[in-house]
Amino acid sequence: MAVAELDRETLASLKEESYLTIVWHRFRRHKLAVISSVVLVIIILACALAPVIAPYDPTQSLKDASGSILKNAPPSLQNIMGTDAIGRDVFSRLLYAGRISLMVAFVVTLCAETFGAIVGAVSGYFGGYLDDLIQRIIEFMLTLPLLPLLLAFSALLRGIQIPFLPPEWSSAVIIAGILIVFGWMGPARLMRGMVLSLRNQDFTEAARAMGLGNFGIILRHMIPNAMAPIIVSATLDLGGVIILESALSFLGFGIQPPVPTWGNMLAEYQSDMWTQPAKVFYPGLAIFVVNLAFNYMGDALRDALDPRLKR
Amino acid sequence: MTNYLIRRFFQMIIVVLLSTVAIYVLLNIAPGGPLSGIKLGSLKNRPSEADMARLEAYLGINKPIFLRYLTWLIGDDWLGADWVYVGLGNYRYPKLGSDGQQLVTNDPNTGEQEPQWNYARFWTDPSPALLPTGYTLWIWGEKTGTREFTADHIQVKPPITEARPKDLVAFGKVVSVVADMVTIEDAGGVKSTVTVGQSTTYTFPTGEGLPRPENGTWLNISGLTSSYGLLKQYSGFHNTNRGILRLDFGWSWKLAVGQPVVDLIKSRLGNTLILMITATVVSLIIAIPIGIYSGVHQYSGTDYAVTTFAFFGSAMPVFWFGLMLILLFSYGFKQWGLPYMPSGGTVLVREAQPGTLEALLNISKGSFIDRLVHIILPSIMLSLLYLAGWSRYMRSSMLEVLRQDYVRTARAKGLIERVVIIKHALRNALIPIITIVVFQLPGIFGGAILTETVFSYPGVGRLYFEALSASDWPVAMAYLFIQAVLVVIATLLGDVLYTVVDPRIRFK
Repeated sequence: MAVAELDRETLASLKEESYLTIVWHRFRRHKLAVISSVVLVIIILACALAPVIAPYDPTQSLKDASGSILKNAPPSLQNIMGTDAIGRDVFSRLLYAGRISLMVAFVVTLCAETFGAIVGAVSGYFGGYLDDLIQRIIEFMLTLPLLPLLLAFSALLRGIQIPFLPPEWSSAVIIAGILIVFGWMGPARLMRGMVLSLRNQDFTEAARAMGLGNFGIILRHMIPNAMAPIIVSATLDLGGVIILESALSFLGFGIQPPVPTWGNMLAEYQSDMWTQPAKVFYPGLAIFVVNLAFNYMGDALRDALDPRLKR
Repeated sequence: MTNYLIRRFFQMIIVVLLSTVAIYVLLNIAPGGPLSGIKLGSLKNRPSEADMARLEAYLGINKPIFLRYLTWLIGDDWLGADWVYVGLGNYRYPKLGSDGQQLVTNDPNTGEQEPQWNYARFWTDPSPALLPTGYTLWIWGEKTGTREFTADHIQVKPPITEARPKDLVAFGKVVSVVADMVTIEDAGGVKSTVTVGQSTTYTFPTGEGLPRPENGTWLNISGLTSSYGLLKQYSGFHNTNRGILRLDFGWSWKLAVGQPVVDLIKSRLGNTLILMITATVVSLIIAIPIGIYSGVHQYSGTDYAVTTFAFFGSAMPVFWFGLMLILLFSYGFKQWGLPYMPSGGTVLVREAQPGTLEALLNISKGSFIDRLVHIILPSIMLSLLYLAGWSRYMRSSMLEVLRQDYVRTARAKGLIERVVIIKHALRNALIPIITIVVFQLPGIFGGAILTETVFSYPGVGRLYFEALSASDWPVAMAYLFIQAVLVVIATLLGDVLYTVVDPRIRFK
């Protein structure tokens, strides 16, 4: 029959779309998110390739033709964003600052999400006293006032030198560590919720029947199945971490100069605000754009990864 | 309900205690600390080991950490000992019983008697220059030459009735004091010099008549066996801790040395409350209506505008937004000849300068309107942050409610749309907002650290920031403690209010 033939033809011509293709198609519909990803890729590449792209060393004081230090130079072809109070090129600093700020954000998010996901999965899967204990700890940590505590911790730990690390990296590692300690609770709660609903489903029973151990089930079935919301929360958290790190650095409790980050650049240029207003604008704008882009991407990913929203 | 509240109350206490233990220990074992700046002084100004020890004793950081925490928590005045943290250096004076005699402790093992002493500490170095001329001294120590002595212990104006102890090395009236050399004269007019060292201790008499000292330099502790009030009055320094549980937050180490933390916080609290309450009220007044509107008119042009605004607002680093506000309204307006706004502070320091907004409005400095003008920019900065979150929250809450059956029923029975929205939907949509407003409680007290820093606004948040920068742990601890208490109270209040407004929710 004609109808049957048509069906066979159509089916033959249709390739089965992979999950990633479906996600990509859905993601593409969110125009702002696509623009955001392009902007993000440009920014991340520019920062990652800072040694190649940046015209100057970020810590070097530039000198003019007569040999005196080029202080507070206005934007020009040589220094497209001008120079700061001790003659360093603002654009180069901005790129190097982005390296640190983005690196901290990625490391913190990766670690916090991974740790949170594992804790959440264990808590949800085993339940009982362990779950109670972990949930109480999470509630306790969520009760504490975040920014004051972050400030307190950074004030305490910023003096510490980590052995085998260059001194300028110590404060970045410490700040990252503090942000991880206070950042894993969200993903843990999310993961626990997912695991609680996955635990009683048939495929879990099947896996157990086939002799897979508890940790095998958690690693092979629970975590991969709960990945989508974790990815979304990670994307949204990236922006949040950048803001938090820059707020700490802005207050002088974050990563210490001369290592540039967007936050401490903002603090540095705040004092020149009345003479060089434009400089305060750039680092903040960078934070804003990156954060906005992560937010849009997170939004689009949430829709794209949601299996219930097929088509 | 009562059981639930009692359980929650005990949980609250545990949470607060745990967090204070954690924070206190971390603050106090961290490297650096309040004395790190002093240690780094130039060689000439660097204090000696003995000075450092005295400073540590003054701050109470020479004790083991758990004792310090206990002192912070429950105070040390009840210990019985008259520990008086008045200043540097240890002074002791006899602890008298009701009969006016010095009390003694009997050692049950050896049968030996130990005299009891009260201890006082003084901020100033126990400089011999403070020994009053004309008073008799008893000196214990060593003889270093003909009529030359070094003093280990000096008792000022011993009681006449008491027999002179055998182990004295010298005694006499103070004639003059030059640097660390005290010249004394005995009854026969023979003069001797006594060298006073850093470690010399002093005992002051229980009698009357020593001159009243300068504030904070020297202290007559005669007859002060139990009266802290007099000590306070004389010294200008806070002394014992009564502990945070009795609302004594100790005294500041660095920001305002010796001043009670409570006073510091009180002096800033008003500023913070004005700013935070203004920002909260303004944000609520704006956020709720626009949230409702964009919820009711989902996917309309206004809804998109509101959603985009909320998105931008929450993605914007607030401190940068604050700086941009200053750039525009203070710097930019000044450049363009428009009436520009103050970029910081709470009131005008001098009379309004020509060209400012205050001059245009003819505001006198220090008036209420002057204050208002100063909080315009900070509250815009805070409001953006709150508006972004709250309007989004209100919108989703409204959307949620509008999908409910009772709203459909209300529409189906022919009510006009406005009544459906205001009477049926809005009332229920406001319920989740309660938690948000309640959660403002710690914020209203604690101020916004970033906002107050950007606008150099002397509020509690900035006080905390300054305390952390200066390692003034008592001030920082007080802030964190109050914050922790308010957070748990807000959580409980939120939960309880939820059951009040939404009878479907019941406590286990």
